[in-house]
Amino acid sequence: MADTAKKKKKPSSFYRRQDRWALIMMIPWFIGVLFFFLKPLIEVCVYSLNEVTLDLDGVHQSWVGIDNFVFVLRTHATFYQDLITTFAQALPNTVLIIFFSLFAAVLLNGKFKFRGAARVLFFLPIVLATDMINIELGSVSMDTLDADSATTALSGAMMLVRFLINSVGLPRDVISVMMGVIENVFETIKLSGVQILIFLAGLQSVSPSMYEVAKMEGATTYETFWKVTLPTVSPLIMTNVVYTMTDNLMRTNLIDTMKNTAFRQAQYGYSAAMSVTFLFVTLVVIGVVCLILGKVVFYND
Amino acid sequence: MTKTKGKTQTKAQAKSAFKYRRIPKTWDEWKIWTRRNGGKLILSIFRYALILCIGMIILMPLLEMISGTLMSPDEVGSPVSKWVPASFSKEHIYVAFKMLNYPKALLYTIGTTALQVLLQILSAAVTGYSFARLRSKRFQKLFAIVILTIVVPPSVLMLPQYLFFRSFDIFGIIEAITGSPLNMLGKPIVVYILDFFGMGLKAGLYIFIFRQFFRGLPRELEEAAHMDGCSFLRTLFSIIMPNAVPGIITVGVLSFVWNWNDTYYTNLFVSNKLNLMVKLLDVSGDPENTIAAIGSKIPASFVFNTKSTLYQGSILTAGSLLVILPLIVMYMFVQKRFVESASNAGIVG
Repeated sequence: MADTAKKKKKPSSFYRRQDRWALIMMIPWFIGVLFFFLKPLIEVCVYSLNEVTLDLDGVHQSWVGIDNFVFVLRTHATFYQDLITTFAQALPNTVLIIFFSLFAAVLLNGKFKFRGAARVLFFLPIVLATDMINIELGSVSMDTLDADSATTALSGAMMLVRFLINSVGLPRDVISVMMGVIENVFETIKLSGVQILIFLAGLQSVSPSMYEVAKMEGATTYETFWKVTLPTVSPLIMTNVVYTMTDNLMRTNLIDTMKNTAFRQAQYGYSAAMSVTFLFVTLVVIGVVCLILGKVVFYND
Repeated sequence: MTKTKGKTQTKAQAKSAFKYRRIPKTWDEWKIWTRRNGGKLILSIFRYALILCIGMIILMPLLEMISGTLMSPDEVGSPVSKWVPASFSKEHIYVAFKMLNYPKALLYTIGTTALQVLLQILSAAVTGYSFARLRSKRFQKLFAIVILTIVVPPSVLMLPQYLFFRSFDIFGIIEAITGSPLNMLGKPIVVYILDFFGMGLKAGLYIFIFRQFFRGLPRELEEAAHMDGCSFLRTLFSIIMPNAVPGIITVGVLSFVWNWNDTYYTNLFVSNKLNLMVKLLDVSGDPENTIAAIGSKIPASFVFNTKSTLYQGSILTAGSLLVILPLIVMYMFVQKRFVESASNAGIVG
């Protein structure tokens, strides 16, 4: 009784003042959301249903219904395929990155000598982010492509791995999947800096007493991992999956296609239709993934 | 089960642990030692091997860039020297230095990026703090919009944002004064505006990080400040912010790195050739002519074979190295704080 009475009481002046000020401080962000997020979002949807032309006076639109979408999905040479490929690549990449970063975080969370140095090294990809190092490879001819360390320096090792896997006698499909994973290892490591950081932060926040209890009850290291570590970091798996998916989707070459369609070919309507299609598929895929993960994730609080 | 028994057990364990920690002398002692510590030993060897391998994969491109840059031009592409050049030369780095107009561009890029980082930290910290402390359920639901800004790829909003800044106006005020809306494209202020209003590069993520961080801070701090008659703003800037240093460092480093490496916003809104990344991308689009254009500044003793794609590649590698050099230097300075604060408090809180 006493508790409910307390809850029903008006919040103290401090909290009311804090709420008011918090709202006031959020005004810039509100403006930002309205003008630089929601407004463009609605505009791009409108553009996608119109034929848009630009001149010095401004933007001119004429209603064409879903013609832009029909063109983009049916007639455009590459868009549809690129869209499918983007998502077909993003999903397995995400799975790989999540597994690798969880593994690396567990590795870095243990106690060993030079742990600090190892952490500094593992977070280096965050600093060397984006495709900085690959810039010269993309544009200059094939001669310099040989300088790609990842492919040449380890091609010998790759041959060996391929031979070993082949000689085990697994089905061909399994082998090709495994080879894909191994060949992707560089990309995976390069893109998982932030994810390792997030997982490591989660692992650090697991209270040591939990491990103590598990040890007292006679759990093995393996059991401890599955019953203690994994449930506590499982909300972070969700965070990481969302982050990784969006990060992966930002690297797609669809963006170049959209940019070229808008600013080189001046087909603003088509570009907007592409954007809306991309956005729609992105939201649906991430939503579905979150729904599935939401069933698995364990929340402590 | 009694207390004394537990005590004696731990004592015995400590004794045995002590006994087998020193180097075993006889064969029998070795056998016992390996049985007790063998698993651990193999595990730790395995761990170090893994860390070394992954570390090599991370460092290899960087090392190769460095060795390729320091190599003399005649040597590039020769199979004999890959990791350690036979003869060193400063030609690549010199040409890239001149090509990027390095000192001036460096100052400009550091200046603009630092301002962006400051604005992003400020807006994300204030918004994140507000979200962390808002008690009204209705407004807390707005946090879904923050998630939405993280999930929606910025390229989707590219076209309307571009058009918005092309004819920038605030309710027709500017048009009433100057006769026509303002074309803001090509000026860095566009990015500053986006950053200030919390819509810059990956801003949603920073708000998220700060919110998580501030939720971990005890409310008693602010209550005490309130008791002592401290206003909300003063509480925020002289009590909350000093306690938020780990969050600020995490967001600051991430924001600096991503803004530095960003080509999307800078290319769309600020195509300024003084920005190192923009310049580098520009050069990589047409290496031969851009490198040849600075021919007059190059000493005659240099090879300067602009026709060769190998040579162009080396110059671009040297250029990339120069562009990421400030990041590496910065990382060296902040790495300890960054790793600590990011993994202890920055993200999960």
